[in-house]
Amino acid sequence: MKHYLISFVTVVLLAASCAGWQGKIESGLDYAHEAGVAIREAGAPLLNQKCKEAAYSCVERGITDPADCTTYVDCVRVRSVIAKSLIALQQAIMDGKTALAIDDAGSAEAATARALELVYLIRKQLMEHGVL
Amino acid sequence: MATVLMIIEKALPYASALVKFLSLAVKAGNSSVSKEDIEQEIAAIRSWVEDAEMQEADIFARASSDDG
Repeated sequence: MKHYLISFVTVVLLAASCAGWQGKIESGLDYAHEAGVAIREAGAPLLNQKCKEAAYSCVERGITDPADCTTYVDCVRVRSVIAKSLIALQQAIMDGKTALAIDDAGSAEAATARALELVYLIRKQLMEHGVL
Repeated sequence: MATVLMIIEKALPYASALVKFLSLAVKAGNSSVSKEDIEQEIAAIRSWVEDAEMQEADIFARASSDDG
C-alpha cells in the first residue's frame, strides 16, 4: 500500500513540476514576444525618421546616390541590424514554443534565454544609437 | 484492501495523464503567444524595413530626376 502511495505521489509531483517549468518558460517567451513587438512599434518610426532625415540632408547637399550618403548608409545599416535581431528574437520564441510542445526542457530553456538576451541586446543597441 | 490497491495500480498511468492534461488546459487558458502571432510579427518587421527603404529610394530618385 505504502509503495503504491509513494508511486502515486511521485507521479503527481513529477507532473506538477513539469507544469511548473513549462509555465515559467511560457511566461518568459510571452514577455520576450511582447517586448519585441513594443520595441518595433516604438523604434520603427524613430529609425525611419532618422534615415529619412539623413536622406533629405544628402539630397539638399546635392548627393543623389544613396551609396554616397554615408549618414544614410549608416542609418540603414543600424535599421537592418535591429530588424534582423528582432526577427532572430521571434525565431528564438518560435524555437522555445516548439521545444515546449515536445517537452524538451533543455531546448526550451535555451531558446528562452536566447530570446531574453536578444531583448536586452536590441534595447541596448537602440539606446546606443539614441533611438530609445 | 486488495481491491483498493488494484484500483490505485490501474489508475496510476491515468493520473499522470490527467495532471498533464490539466496543466495544458491551464496553459491554454492563459492564452499565450501563438505561432501565428510570431509569424505576423516577423512579417510586420519585414514590411517595416521594405516600406521604409522604398520611400527613401523615392527621395533619392526624385532628387536625381530633378537634377537631370
